[in-house]
Amino acid sequence: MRRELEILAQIDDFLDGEITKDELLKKVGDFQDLDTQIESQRLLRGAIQKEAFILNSQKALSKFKLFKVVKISSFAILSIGVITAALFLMFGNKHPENKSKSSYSKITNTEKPKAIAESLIPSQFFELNNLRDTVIITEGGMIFSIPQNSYNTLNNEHFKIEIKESITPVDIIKGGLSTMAGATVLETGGMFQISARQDKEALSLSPNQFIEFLVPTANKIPGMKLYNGEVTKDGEINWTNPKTLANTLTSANMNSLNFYPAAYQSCIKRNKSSLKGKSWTDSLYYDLSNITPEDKMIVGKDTTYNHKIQSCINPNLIKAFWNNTFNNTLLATLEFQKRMPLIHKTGSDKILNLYTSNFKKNLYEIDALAMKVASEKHKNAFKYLMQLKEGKVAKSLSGNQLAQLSKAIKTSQQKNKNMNRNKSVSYYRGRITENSNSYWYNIDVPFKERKRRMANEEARYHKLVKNLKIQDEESTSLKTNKFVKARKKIQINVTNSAEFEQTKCFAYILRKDAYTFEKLSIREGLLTIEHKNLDNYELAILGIKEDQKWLCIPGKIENGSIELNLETTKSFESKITAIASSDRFTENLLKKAIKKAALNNGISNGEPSSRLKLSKAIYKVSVDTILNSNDLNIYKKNRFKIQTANYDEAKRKAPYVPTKISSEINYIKAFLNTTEYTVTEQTKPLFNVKIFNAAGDNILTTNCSSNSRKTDKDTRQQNIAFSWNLQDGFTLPKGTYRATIEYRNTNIATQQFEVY
Amino acid sequence: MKETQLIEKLKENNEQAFKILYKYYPVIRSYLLKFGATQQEVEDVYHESLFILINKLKEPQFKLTASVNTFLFGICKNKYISLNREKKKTSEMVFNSAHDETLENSIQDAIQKDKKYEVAQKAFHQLEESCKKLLKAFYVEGKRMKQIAIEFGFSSDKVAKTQKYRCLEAAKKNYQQKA
Repeated sequence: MRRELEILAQIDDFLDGEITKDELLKKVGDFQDLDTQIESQRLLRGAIQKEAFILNSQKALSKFKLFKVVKISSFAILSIGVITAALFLMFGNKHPENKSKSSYSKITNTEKPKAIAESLIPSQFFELNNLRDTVIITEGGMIFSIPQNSYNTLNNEHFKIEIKESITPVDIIKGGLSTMAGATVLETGGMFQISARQDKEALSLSPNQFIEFLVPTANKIPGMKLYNGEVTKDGEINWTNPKTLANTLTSANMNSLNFYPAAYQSCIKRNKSSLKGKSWTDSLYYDLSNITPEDKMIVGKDTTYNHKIQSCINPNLIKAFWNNTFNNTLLATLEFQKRMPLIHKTGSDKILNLYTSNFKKNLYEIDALAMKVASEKHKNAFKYLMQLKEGKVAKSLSGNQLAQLSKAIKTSQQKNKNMNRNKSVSYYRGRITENSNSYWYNIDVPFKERKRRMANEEARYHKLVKNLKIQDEESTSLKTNKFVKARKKIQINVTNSAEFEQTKCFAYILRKDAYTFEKLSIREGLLTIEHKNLDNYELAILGIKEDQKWLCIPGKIENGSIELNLETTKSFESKITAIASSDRFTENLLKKAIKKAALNNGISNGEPSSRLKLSKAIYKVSVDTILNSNDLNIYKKNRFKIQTANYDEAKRKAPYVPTKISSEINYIKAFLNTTEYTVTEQTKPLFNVKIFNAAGDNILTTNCSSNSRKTDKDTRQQNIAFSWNLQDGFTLPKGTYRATIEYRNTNIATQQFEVY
Repeated sequence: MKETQLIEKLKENNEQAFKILYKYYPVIRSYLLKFGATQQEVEDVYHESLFILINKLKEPQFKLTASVNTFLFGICKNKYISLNREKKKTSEMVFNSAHDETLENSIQDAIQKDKKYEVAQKAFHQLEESCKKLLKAFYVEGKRMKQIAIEFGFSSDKVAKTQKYRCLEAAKKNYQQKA
């Protein structure tokens, strides 16, 4: 044997007590970290023995339990036999009608069957005080609002709430849950179980009390209802008794809401101006009321920002209601916040006015009015909002309650940020009016009803595709799916299913275009699927063993054999999310449509087409230009622009890359377009650019060398461009710089820029 | 069976003694379920706690100051708390602390020693099935090399021994990577 293996053998002998430590040291000689080696070998031997012990113990306990069950059953059978015999002897000859009801043995309440999901979904516990209003936020971002005295507590006011939640597709599948109401397939918005206990006792809701819940979602689907879960004998949950969701609006504090146009926000973020605080960004936004909408102000060829301002909602109108006076109205709600980006896109003050002037109406009624007024391209968006049937604000909340709920929503949205890829999150809102332990709830809509709505969404994408001028055969796939009438039967042999308990090895078929989870069992290693049109589905087969997850996602659903493979937590979740996320339908189609449009417009992959840019850029602003309102007038006659960049001669395709990052800048350009002065060979030298740092020093006098001063061929007499190279080793430090251009030593334009 | 007899039989891995311990299982089970443990967690905690109990009883200097039932109960409770902590559950669980400080210290000590096995267990799990079976056959079942050679199809007992230490070496490498 090799020396290393010999040493292992000697350590084994030492651990078995066959040799002493001195003898071991003599045999192994000069060996590094011998004590560490001995310890690790001892632990490994111990771990092996522990594995075997636990296995034996499990078998022994199972036998013991079985023996106990047999013993109790035998005793029970014997007892029943004895009692029956006794009863027969006592009452056997009498007329049946004379038997009183009390002589029949009572059927005691048997324990309700427990759902398989209960052992697969972890619980979250919360300690509550029944004398206080409480808002609970779960790990998945669900919010429960539990008012004081909601529960009939027994001894004192302290009690525990237990919640199990399954909102994401990964949680639903890991929990072995399905979305079936009998034979009806449902599309789900999320499932949960909530129960309350005090010491050992289960608690029920007090009469006329209710718990409000908010379940987060990235894609709110109209028509959702609240279903109760009935646990069947085999531990599955069947969803029944659908009730309409409350659909009241989610109040929030006005200061926590965001009504900026999306393009303004991204511009602010790019400039990192959002770090200056809301009052700064608010004042900048409201100041833009002074700019009238014009299709102009493209400054030079190489500008970083396009000053293209199209139709927009006047910021003054937003300012009029974006304050605390309007708390507890429909304007101070998450639902209205969600509508603002669409209202900005319409650019219609009239549509905004519908929402700000009709507080007494339900939100969906105002959506209907907006739909009538909106242009063709926005009508469907308002129709979708109308179908959500969002109503009114439930009741006025006190300042504290509003603050509590706003805080909860903020926390919930942060939790959901990653889950929903930074999309804004909406909530399904409802009430639980009676609650007994082990109640499961599900927010669903029957899939057939959903199909009707999907047809509307298909039409929306049809229009999008048409607007982007896609001429592609694939666009026909956007029509409503036609189902194959005959049911197809598929059988798949799961070769290693015997490694799992039967209740922990199952399969799901998942629609490619909806959030449905149809669970199928695997019997004796065989999975049988009978379904129409399996082309519309993905199949996921999984096994759960302790904390490990085993998975197989076949490329095609067809007859054959598969083997489940062990997955890491990360790979399991990403694979399930890829096939079961509710975004996959919406996003994939949109991405496809945009990509095709870009290609058709001759732009390389990943670049939005100029048409799409235009349609998205309702409101774009160059912050640099607007900072100093005095400069605005000068700007109109003498448009002066500064740009910092990284210049690399070696790169043929893009040697010149604009950048504001200090370490990357080695090149500065300036451009003047003037209607006031004439640029000729004689007048060129009379223009002089200076760039001042925060200390007031002109950086162009040191560490910069002038590269060129040239004019544009076509507009020679109006344009002049300057450029400077920074000397090797010199970088432009971070900070704010002010650039000026002088003509005959008189300042004619100023520009400010930042270096980060 | 008297307590001292029970302890002696447990040290010898006597089946009858274990059956007495299994009788305590329903009590432990209902206690842990009350605090939110799942059925699977209860069983896992119970079996691990039994192992911890036996190991502790086998320590030559250890003297049990309470009944075996109380000791096992304490181990199960503390094991579940530490499992909870690792999984970062949101619950706040309030348990009554043990009155016997010596007992509590013994329980904590036993659980800490057992934790060292966790990394070793993971390292062992990473081995190939054939290696796992071979090591179990030797260290647990106590089979001789000749018998192992026949069962596993090795040409001789020396080859079986070499293979056994190769497997052990692989397990040690896994352990050192994780530790």
